[in-house]
Order: sequence, then structure tokens, then C-alpha cells
Amino acid sequence: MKARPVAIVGTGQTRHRKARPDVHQGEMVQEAVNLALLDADLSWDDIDAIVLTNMELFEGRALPDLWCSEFAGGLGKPVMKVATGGTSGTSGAIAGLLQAASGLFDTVLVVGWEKHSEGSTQTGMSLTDPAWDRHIAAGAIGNFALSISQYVAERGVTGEQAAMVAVKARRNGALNPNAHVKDAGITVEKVLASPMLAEPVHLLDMCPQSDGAAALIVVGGDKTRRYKNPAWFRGSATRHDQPYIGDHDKRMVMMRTLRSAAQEVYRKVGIGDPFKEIDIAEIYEPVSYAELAWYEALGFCAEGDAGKLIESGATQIGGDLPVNPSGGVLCSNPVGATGVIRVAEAARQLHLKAGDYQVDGARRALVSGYGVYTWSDVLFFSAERP
Amino acid sequence: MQENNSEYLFSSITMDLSWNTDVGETMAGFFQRLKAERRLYGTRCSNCLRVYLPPRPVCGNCWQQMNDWVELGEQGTIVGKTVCYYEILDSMTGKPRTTPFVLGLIQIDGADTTLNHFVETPDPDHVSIGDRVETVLRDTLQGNVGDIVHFQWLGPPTTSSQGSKK
Ligand SMILES: [Zn+2]
Repeated sequence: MKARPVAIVGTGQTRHRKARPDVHQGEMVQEAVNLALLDADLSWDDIDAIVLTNMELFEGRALPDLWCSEFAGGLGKPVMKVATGGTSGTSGAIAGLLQAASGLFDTVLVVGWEKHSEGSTQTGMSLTDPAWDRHIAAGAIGNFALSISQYVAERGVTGEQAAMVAVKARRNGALNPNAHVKDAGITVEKVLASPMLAEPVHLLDMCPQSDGAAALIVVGGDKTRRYKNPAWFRGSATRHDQPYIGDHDKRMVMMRTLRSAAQEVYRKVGIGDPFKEIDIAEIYEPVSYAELAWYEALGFCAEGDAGKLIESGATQIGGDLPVNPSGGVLCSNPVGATGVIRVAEAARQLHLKAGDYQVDGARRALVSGYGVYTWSDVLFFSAERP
Repeated sequence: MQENNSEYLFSSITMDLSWNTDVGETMAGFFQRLKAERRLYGTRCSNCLRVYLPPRPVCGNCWQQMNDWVELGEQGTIVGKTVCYYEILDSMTGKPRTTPFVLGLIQIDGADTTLNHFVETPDPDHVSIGDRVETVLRDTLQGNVGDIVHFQWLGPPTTSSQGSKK
């Protein structure tokens, strides 16, 4: 079956913050949905189907799809929830894009959210395999640090190079009104002077935990005609891998889910040199060091050259391949929404609506999602109709 | 969004719930062997020969049923490590762990996969990738993962403590 061309024509995001005590989850969802409808100049009646993404373990409220659908405008419509860990948002976006591409629906709404302030993130992260993992659960930061120690040993990247990623993110975030963490004056020295959480990861190397929601409007068929700068969906790939973190040899160095998903997308859309042929990337970097490792997995540079790539400035706004001009995950991380935000930010660049962090000449955008090492999503969008 | 109103209401709930999770045939085989012999066992894929710890019924790489149990060494090698300074709650007790503590990715002799676990050492700053550790089991085994208390740091490899390289 040949899929038909579809595009993202509207996006909406809340102001992502440490806490949004003024709204409950559903109200936060509604905020993002209203903004996306406004952006696409559509109304509730125009939506044919809805995809939700959320990881309810962080809020401890079962069936978020049941009680939040109403706030997404779900009454009388097909609604489903997608959850694949950190990748939930990108997986939900892929589901919505493919629903429209299949011709089943003309207009699909994708909305993701998380309200980390309502629960304990560590508790959520600890709800792993009770027979094995839970006894030794030490939180996400320690696990990141273990993988990072292998990546550092293998590639020789330095704390300064990682700190440059954190600096780039927070300076970009200062340009984005929706970003949770912003710091226009941050320096490498400030990152390295921030408290050590788990060697070599400093506090400012890590992503925050945010409250926030993000929504996308996907349209297909004749519905695409009225839009001036649609973000055309060109291809995607998803990869799953074995569940225990010790199953993966040098997991951050190898990152075989992301590597393999990227290769499939590049093959599908005919990209030979990602660094030259992609104009902007919004990737899921939970920690500064991961962005360096993902540069290699995504083929933005040769293996082992990620440190040089960040030093070159090429991934800053104004560089050859700006990575996370929105500030990325290091600035905003409402997990169930984080992947949706990546897609929304890539689409905003192609819509030419990214405001102060608009990348000049953005026509081809890459997105990646990260669900620990066991899930990766890669999506590619262009200003050019397929 | 009303950023200035501090009078928001919330509902605070603490729950005490219990679950009973079936560990499955293979994990049960591991815990039974551990309890009976005080030894760690892995399962080996007959196709790619990869030895899994924790043991699994299926090699995900080959989608191959694994029926071979392999006795593993008492020592292992640190292949990744970090010193943690942030406060975390022990998932089993709910109490904070004292900091700093060392986490290691440990490759037990004879296994191909690695375990993330706590490394006990008098000097966290001197733990390096490549160092050797020894499995410490609790005195009275109960047949669950809590039987592995931690891994005791032994120091850099010497000829006598070097694991058999496969
Ligand atoms: Zn195998």
C-alpha cells in the first residue's frame, strides 16, 4: 500500500515549568490542544482522531487516556494512547502521522503531557522488573553515569566538551518562551562548578523534570492545500532492543537502536551525508554527554569526533547543523510530552514560526526519540512536498 | 497560566499497596540454583553462544530458546563505574542511601552481559574500569535478587584474579 503525503500544520505547547499547580493534567492538555488548533486554524469538529502520549507511573493515576481524552476533545472520536517510555511522544507522533498517511483519517491530533511535580520521578523509574532491577534501582542519573563512563573511556570526550552541550542548550532555551530552564549567561565553568551528581555528571549536565504538554495537528489529502509552509512527513523508523541495561555492550557508544533507526530513515529518504543534508535536528538528549554520543549514532560526525563537532560550533544556531535550537530536553522535560515537543519544534522550524531561535533556511529537519537504550524513534520532515 | 497565585489546592495521597509478581521459569531456576549452590548461573544461546546474566528464556538477538545453564565465576570485572553523590532512596527499604556510593557495570566471569550493582570499597575515588570485584551474597539465602548484597572491590587485575577470557 502506498502511503499518501501528510504534513504537520499546527503545534501548541504549554509554558513548560517545574510545576504547574494552577492546572490539573487535563487542563494542561487542553491548553496545548487549544494552541495547536489555533495555530492550524482548525476547530474541534475538524479533528478525526486523537493519539495521546503520557507515562502515568510518574503521576500515579491510572488510565490517563480515560480521563484526559475529554480535555483533548475526544468525545465521540477514536482515541488511543501510545507509551514506549521516553520515546512515547515520538512514537505517538509516528502513530498519528501513519494514521493520516494511511488515509484512515484526514486530520489527527497528537497530544503528550507529563506532570512530574505530582509524584516522585525516582519512584516511577524504580517500578521496573521486581524480580531483578528494583533491588538495585539507583535512579536514572547513576545509570546514565555508568554508560557515560564507558563512552568517555572509549572516545576520550572531556567534561568541558559535555559542558559545551549544556551551555548551548540553556542559551538556546533563553530564546524560547516555552522552555523550563533558560540561562543566557551560562558558561562552561558554571556547568563544571555545579554539584557533582554522579561522576562525571554535574547537575547542569542533566535534563530537568517538568510539567508540560505539547500537541500536533497532522493533516493529509486535500486538507494540506490551504497551508503555506507545511512540515511534510518524509519517513520514520522505530527500533526496540533487549530490556535489561546490561544486555547492551557499551550501550551509549553503540546505541544500536538509534544507529539502526537513523540508517533506515536515511535510506528511505535518500540522505547520504546527514551533516550536510539536514538543516536542523531536534534530538532527545537526556544528559549533555548523550548529545555527543547521539551525534555519532546519527552520523553527524565520524565515530569519536563528537567532541570536535561541539567545539566547532556547527551545532549552534547559525552553524551548519543546529541541534536543538529550542533548548532541547536539557531545557524542558515533561517526559510524555518530550518526544512530541521534539516533533513540534522541528515542525515550527519548517513552518518558519520558531521566533528568536528560527534557523535560517531550515528546509530539512531530523527528530529523534530516546526510550532508555531499548527504544529509539527517528523521523524526518521537509519543506518540500514528497 | 497564573504564575503568581500561591493558593492552589492539591490532594496528597500516600498508598501502601502490594503485588505478587511471578518471576517465571528461568528466573526461578536461577534463584533455586543460587540458593542451593551459592553460585550464579547464566543461560547460553546455542546459536550465538552469548551467556546472559540475568538469565533469560530467550536470546533476544537470535529469538532462540535457551536451555543451557552455565555456571559463572564468583568474581568479575568492572566495565563501567560512577561515584554517586546524590541522595537516593533504597527501593527495597524506602530509606536514603548514604553518599557517596559506587555503582558499577560488572561483567561476571563467564557472562557476556553486565550487571549494574553497588560496589563496596573503602576508597570510591580509586575504583577504575578494569578493576576486579567479588560477589558478596547474604548469609542466609532467600532465593531472590536481594541475595546478591553488593560486589566487593578487589583492585586492579593481577594474574591470579584475572577472569577467563572467552
Ligand atoms: Zn543468540
